[in-house]
Amino acid sequence: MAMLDLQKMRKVRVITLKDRVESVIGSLYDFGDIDVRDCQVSDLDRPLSSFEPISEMLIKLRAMEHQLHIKPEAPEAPIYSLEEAKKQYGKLRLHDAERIQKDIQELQAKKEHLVERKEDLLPFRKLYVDSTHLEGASVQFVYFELKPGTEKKLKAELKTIPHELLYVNDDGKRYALLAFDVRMETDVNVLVLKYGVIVHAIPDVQEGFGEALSKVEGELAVTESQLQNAKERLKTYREQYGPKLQEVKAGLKVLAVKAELPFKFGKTAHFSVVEGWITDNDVLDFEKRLARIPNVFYEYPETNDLPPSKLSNAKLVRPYEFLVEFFSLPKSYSLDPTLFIFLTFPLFFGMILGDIGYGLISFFLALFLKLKSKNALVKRIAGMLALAAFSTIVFGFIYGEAFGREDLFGIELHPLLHRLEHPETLINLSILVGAIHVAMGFLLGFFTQFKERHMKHAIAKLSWLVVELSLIAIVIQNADISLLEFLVPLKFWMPYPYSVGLLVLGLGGIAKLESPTHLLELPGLISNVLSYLRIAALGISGVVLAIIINQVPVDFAGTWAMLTLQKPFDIGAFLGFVAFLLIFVFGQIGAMTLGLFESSIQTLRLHYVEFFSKFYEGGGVAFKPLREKGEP
Amino acid sequence: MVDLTAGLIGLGAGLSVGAAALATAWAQSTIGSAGMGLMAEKDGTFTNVLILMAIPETMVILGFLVAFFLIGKIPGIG
Repeated sequence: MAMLDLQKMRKVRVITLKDRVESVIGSLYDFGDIDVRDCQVSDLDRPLSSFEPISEMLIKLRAMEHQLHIKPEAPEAPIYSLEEAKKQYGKLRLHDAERIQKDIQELQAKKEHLVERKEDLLPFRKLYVDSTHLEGASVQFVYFELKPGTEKKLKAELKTIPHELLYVNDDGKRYALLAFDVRMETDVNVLVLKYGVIVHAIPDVQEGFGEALSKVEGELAVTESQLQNAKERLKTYREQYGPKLQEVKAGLKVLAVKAELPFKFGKTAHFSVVEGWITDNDVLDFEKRLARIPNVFYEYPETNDLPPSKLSNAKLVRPYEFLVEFFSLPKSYSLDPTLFIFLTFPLFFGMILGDIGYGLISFFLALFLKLKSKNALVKRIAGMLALAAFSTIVFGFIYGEAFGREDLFGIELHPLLHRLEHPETLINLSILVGAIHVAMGFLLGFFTQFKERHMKHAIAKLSWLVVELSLIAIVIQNADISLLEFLVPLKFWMPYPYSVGLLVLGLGGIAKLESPTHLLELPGLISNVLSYLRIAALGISGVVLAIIINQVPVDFAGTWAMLTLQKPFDIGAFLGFVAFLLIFVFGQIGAMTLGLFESSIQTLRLHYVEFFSKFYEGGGVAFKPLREKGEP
Repeated sequence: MVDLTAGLIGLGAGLSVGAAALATAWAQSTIGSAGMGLMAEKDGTFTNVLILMAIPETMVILGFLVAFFLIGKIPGIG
């Protein structure tokens, strides 16, 4: 069962003189594969003195990265000393960028002000009146846009009010400058509201309105040019220093990790103590590295603490570790179920989706994501999807289906199992697969309990396995399994007396080893096995959906072509063909997306609910290395 | 002319899937809203919620099974 074991962990304690702390940190970081924990033997230490300047530089770089819209990337981080980091940080000339940004802010504000001023002046540009004349103690002025065709009415109503009126035409609009006795303000306001579209506040200008406008437009043009220039300078800065900024940030991040590590160290008057976990495989390397530093001691203390969990699987299996981590990591002394998920996840997925066309598309999609994506999670999901897609293709050949059709580009497919013609076989097969999967769960339950020295519970798991197998034997005596020929011999190996006897034995074992109330879980066991029927149910519904999608565009296109047939151009048939293509393509994309989603979710559920509930506890704590593989 | 027995069996088959689907939907809506609340309150509970959401689906699968066997009993189909 070694391949189901997690990596063996060992707790380590390093004791060092205070003046060696930096060397120890450097050595631990170079080693990398250590999960440093808060020291429990004394009070925790303070970070290195370099922590403050490093944090300050990092914060500024992050802010600048955000302000310059530099896409955060993780380039290879250089190894810096604090002095070197400061030097590289200085080379970034952040002050230049800050100054350009300040310029941009000021120019932007100036531009906004000028645009506003221009809009205020624009309606007055044809008003050739000296602005100094628009002031007076007893005379008031109002300038407004007239509603079209109201000129005469306004004039008539103004008869009773002492006034002077000047009209201005500009750009199809008619404005009026009205000078009136200040005592008549209320009456004038009523008239302006009645006949005006909008009242424009008279701008405060020293010269004529036209000149003022020209001046503002000139200033605006200069400001816009300056703004454009500043933006160009910022763009140049971003192009010139962006990659370097990312690089320095990565280097500073490494320094920050090292500088803040003493937060986890224990301290005494003269010593610092660091505790963590390493794998058994790394012990030699670890000791070799520490041996290079004088006055540093290490030990492997006995502890009751739960060691962190580190999965260890072959490269092909590794993507499926995600599904175990997603549920909950196993405890370090428990079993790692990744290998089983690797075997059964693609199997169930393929059994549900089972279509050569969907499988091929999914496979290429997975390949594309694997090669193009930089995101580790997407890469892992792509790895899982690739295997699941391969299984889908295999089952596609077994079911003889490609995009819901029974041929692949005209070549007829010969199904080994036709899902629509023999659904009962698929149902039997699904239950059989479920029974095996659940039995596998009980078997793993036995090994888990055995490994943890819980012998009573281990034998109880075996009792459940006996109960399940005897129930299967009883069902097989009555079931029509003519299409699953390989099961027929079971009828003879396990006749009624044996199977019933085993059932009683199994149930007795459970009642004795666990408790009689555990027998109430028997319907749960049956329900768990029957739950695998979803493999058949979803498969059949999926293929029916694909058939309908294949039929709808044919019907639609035919009807369309028939209704719109025109001569001499057969435009109706052409449009019908386009409609056929659109409905077919989008329909198949929809069906495939639904199929992929359902197959993933339901397969996941069968693992998490039906399979894991038989043996898996989870509750492990992830191993967090000081430095991830691939980091400097 | 459809036989009354066949019709009733067909109705029963439809009801077994329909009622089971409604029951599943009801259970999932309740679990779903509670699950959203749980996820909002506490990080790292997505997996638990996903599993709880998936549990009632067994009902509709069993409904499908009953319907399948019932349809097999309709004269001329089984």
